[in-house]
Amino acid sequence: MSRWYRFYALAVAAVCGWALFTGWWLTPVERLTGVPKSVRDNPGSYRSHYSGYHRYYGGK
Amino acid sequence: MAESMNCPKCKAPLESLMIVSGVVVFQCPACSGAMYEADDLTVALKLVGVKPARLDCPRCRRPMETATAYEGKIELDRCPACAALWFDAGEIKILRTLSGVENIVGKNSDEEPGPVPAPVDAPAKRKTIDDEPNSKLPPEMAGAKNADADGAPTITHEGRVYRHFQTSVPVTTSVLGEFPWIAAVGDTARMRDFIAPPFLLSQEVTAKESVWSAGEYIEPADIWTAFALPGEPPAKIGVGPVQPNPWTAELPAVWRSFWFAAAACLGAYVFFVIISSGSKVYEGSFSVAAADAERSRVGDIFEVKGRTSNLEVLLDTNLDGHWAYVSMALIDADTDQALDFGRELSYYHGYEDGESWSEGGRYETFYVPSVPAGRYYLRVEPETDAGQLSLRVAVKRDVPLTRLPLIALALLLWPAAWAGLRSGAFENTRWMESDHPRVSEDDEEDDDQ
Repeated sequence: MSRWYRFYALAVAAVCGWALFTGWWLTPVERLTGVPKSVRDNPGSYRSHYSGYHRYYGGK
Repeated sequence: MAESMNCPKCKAPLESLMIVSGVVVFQCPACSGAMYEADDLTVALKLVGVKPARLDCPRCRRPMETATAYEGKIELDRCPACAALWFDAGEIKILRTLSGVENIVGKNSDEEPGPVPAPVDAPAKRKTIDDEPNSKLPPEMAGAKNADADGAPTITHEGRVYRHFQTSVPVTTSVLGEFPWIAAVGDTARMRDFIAPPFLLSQEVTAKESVWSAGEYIEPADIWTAFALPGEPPAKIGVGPVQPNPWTAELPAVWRSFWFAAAACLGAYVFFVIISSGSKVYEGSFSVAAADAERSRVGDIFEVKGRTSNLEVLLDTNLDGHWAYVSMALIDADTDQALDFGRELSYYHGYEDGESWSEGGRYETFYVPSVPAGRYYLRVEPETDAGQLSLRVAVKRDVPLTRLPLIALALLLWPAAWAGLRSGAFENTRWMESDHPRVSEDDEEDDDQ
């Protein structure tokens, strides 16, 4: 147990340090390629992955 | 040879009780069941309908059988190997009634019937150290009355503190081997056991003498090996009084690793808090009206410098009684790559039944992970039920997250806590068999009721 835990603790500390160093987090972010160069001139030429299907029905 | 046995029903330690001269029964102080020798009964039992029982013999550990007698009016458990009979609480009384014999126990049916057996349904009085007639300690031992935190008396021998485990009155039921004294069935003594696992000190007190002996726990496998016994030793049952707690040796090392890793995580967090820039790399405003045919907007190009790090994005809106969903893309100005993400905001408030209320918020902060250095711009495309939405976006880079070391601490803590609980459970099982069982206050209250 103590040997296993030693490696486990080192792994947790290493992952924590790596996450702090690289800014890693669990935020759902889609990494895409093929974005057209014309987006700056014509923002509508590219649709975000997250747009178009979300509707909010909350509130009072 | 004194034997230690456990109740086949509730696993409590059985207590030996001499109810007639030469006749010893083993009684469970917890459930009031009792084990008798078949030969000790003065009543001949015609057992029928034998079938496998769900109990194991407390003496030889072999599976017992269930059978009925007196036309099925009483059901008994017996061991086909050693002829032990197990009576549940109250069954002795039933047997007396059915047989019409008051003295159902006697050494031999030829002999004069003994006194009426003590009712086995009543638990025997638990012996305590205060009942000890000869409680004097050898000169090298001290402090028998110095109870520890759990109320157990302790003694110190050769610098080692032994805790009182159990005072018992074993009875010799059989003898195997050679002894330097005359051993006889029915011999009894009062024994006190003190433990400092894996070491044991036992005091055996008779009317003539008081003898102390020391012992040390040996693993069954070691004995098997030492005597070159065939096969494997039998599986351990429960926890022995001086059986070493396997977690006790592990726990200090586990906690050392825990504190080391926890300090490393917190140290890393403090280090990155100190060195991180947390600098604002972009701030822009967008406005979208319901009448706009195209609601997507792009911001100015900004530069992210340094190592790969996260971006903290703050959305600040003018929502008031409305909702918005903001689809965003962080687009690399020099390549065709983008990071897509979205956030939902809503803000409602009012005054109802004399109290003000609010729901949601106008602001939202989130983190875009692992963004390499480069030139970027934001594309924002809000959806909203508001007539006009103003949106301010601020972006900072390299913001260490407090939640990371906290999650790391939680991940580090659970195995260590689990090991601590296992260690405590092991000790609870050990002391459950002693005169000082570890019970919670709730248990004690339950017992009092």
